[in-house]
Amino acid sequence: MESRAVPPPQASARQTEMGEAFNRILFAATEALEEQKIPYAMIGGIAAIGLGRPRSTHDIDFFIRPEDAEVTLEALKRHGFDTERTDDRWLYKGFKEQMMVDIIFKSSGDIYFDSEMQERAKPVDFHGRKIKVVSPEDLIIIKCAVHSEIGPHHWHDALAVLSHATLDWKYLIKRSRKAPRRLLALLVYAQSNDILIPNTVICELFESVFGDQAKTQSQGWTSENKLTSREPKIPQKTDLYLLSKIQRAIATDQRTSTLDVKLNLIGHRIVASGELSTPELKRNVEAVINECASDYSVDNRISVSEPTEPQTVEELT
Amino acid sequence: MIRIAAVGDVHFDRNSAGRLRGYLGHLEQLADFLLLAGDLTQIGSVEEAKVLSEDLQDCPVPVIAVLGNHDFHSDQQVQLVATLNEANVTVLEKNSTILQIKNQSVGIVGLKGFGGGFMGSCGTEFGEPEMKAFIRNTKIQAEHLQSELEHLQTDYKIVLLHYSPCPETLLGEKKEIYPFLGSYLFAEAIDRGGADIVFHGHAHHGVEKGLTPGGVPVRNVARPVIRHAFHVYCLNKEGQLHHDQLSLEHAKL
Repeated sequence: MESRAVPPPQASARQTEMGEAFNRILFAATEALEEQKIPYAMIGGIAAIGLGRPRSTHDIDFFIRPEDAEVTLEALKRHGFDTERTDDRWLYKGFKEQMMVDIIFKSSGDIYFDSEMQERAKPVDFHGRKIKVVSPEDLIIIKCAVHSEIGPHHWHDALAVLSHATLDWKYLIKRSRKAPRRLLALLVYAQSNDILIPNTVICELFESVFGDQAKTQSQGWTSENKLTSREPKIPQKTDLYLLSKIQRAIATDQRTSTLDVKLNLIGHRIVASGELSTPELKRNVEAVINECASDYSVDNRISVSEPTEPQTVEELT
Repeated sequence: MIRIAAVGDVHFDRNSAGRLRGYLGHLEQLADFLLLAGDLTQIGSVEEAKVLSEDLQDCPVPVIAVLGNHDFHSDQQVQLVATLNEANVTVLEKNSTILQIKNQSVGIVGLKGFGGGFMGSCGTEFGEPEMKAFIRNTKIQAEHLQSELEHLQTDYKIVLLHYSPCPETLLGEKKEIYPFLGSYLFAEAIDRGGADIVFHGHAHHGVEKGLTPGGVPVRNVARPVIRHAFHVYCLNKEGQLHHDQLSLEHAKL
């Protein structure tokens, strides 16, 4: 995707005080992260603007790796932000001059700022500054997964990116595993609105979502068929060594390095249990599992323990 | 009487700041010194050791530690020890230190230890070079342990390990991994060299209390086992001595 000059959006226009404050806070926050070399990319409104949808935004949404959540909070603090651990599962916040910065480390649909996403993130020009945004393909997937009744603008952001950006369709399909049905629906809808979507892309995605089911079901709907068509797709071949592979990754990955996690495979769900010492470690384990087995969902049941004062003294004679 | 605070496997990483400090403020009221039984850090990086050093900086009693397997992972163990030394933490590796507690001398022998297994199901120095090297490593450490204990002339002799010298404190771990959790060669060294108590960590799913075959108390103080910031142990030889003297005097009468 070529980065393109962005028409100034209304709410962040240079002329208005609000706009200036918005840019000041955005640049202060990016500086804080870049100073600490924390990998990041913008998602949300700024990414949508950066990738081709001129619209207003009041949101500054940073997407980062779970293991960088604490360091990011510290970095913002040093740059004069008030900070808040809003939700240990996915969201921290920074506040300055009555502006808010969202630090998102897990997006709806178990989407993480993984290595592929990091590699594809590109700087775009935003009011004279280079700001890193996620690739258009990744933004489309994120927007698909987060789309809901209360956030219909995400759908339109995704459509705008589809119509403006030059897309790597192969990568888009590859990345669709977190929200394949949503993406298929979006592409069909986009095509109906005269946005150029190659038929081959829609066919390939359709095939990967429904596969053989589509053929058998065309012979007549039964209630049983309807039921199975709604079930999440279970990977055809279960890797017998999958859990061992993940266990080894958790033991050796620098972010986790622990043997205290127990894994179980239930259908297409990986259940992680055990006890760890920090919430960051718990999140990192989930991220590592996700990287090893992106076709599976993770049920993170790990508990976080706090040490307590010793209660007794043992006397030995 | 001496009072020992001990904990192992604190596994400090860059997010662990404050996880120990909060409990050490008035430690002098509870204990005479603090022992750390290895796995001080998560991946053995200097960055992590710095976080731990800051937590230990103001500890009101002497801190004595050994390294664990995690502390070797990044090949930075030398810098890691230097970082801890700067915070006045004594890190033992096949050597000992002597503390003077009131009028009592306390000798602490410290080493990481290693695996190998326990009597009846252990590895031996036989076969492939890798296998021989594995067991030889344990054997050399056990020899150091015994000779250090034999040379100590202190009132109390304490052993600080990361790996376990006995299987009793491993109860709860899978039997299949016992050979990676410790070796009976350390128990043998302890029983031959003589000690009052042994501390170790490493076995997160084990239990706290065990005994060497020769009867020396063993305590697995891995934090997931003791579930507290540390545990406190009182050794009372004076009481025993006092008791013995009384009965002796009684016999004379």
